Amino acid sequence: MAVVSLKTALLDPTTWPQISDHLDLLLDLDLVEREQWLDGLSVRDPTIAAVLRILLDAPDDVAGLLQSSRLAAIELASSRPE
Amino acid sequence: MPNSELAEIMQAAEMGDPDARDRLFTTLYDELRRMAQRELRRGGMLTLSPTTLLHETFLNVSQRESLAFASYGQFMSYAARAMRGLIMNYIRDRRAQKRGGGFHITSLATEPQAAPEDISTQQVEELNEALQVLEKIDARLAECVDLKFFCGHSFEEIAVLRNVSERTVRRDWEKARLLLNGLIDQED
Repeated sequence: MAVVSLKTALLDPTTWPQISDHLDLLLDLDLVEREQWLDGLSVRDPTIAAVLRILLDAPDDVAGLLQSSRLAAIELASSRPE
Repeated sequence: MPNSELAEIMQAAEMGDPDARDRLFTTLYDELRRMAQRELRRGGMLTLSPTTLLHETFLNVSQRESLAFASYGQFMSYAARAMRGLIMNYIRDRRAQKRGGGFHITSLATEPQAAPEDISTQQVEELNEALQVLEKIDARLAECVDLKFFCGHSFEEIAVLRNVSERTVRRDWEKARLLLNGLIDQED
């Protein structure tokens, strides 16, 4: 796999639109189809394929809280911040 | 600020003027903060829903001399980022004070069987840093997170605000989640 900095790659204005289009396709595929498709893309465009693999394989850690939660309340106590 | 001036800033922001966007952010931030503090003065302890705060602020702003916002959706698209800024600053204030009270946030689990959970301020700080990068990559995705996570809107409500399908909103959310995960993971 090509070594890429995700942040650098995504901030490239020509890269993100391509990634976004690929995600629209990949998110509708099952895991086997997704892997086959990425294998094919790796031959044609290894950098884009590497970025997609990083995104799809990243552990769902901190941002995982987004999946099931949202902020429900802000509690402001009597020691009021000014 | 007279609403006519606010309307001019909004118009410039809509045209892509970055200075106008910054001024609009500051203006809406101040409006939200002022409204939150007004609510605070009403009682010693208050639980304030971000959605309620945004709605009250919209009513307050739109009922002045003239209607500054063409729609609630337009207001929300600008106010969502200001709401995140307000929450992040309350978190920092609380941390700086290093004493009880002040501020804390809770989350709402969207699955009926799951209990509401506490979110650590570090998690929200990491999320905010990743969101600042996401804004530069795709502002629409970052706004989707602001509207859902920081403002408490449902997918259906965001779809109505944006005049798009719920499927489109869910796809934006999924992409935003993937990018945030990837950005946070590479920072570790």
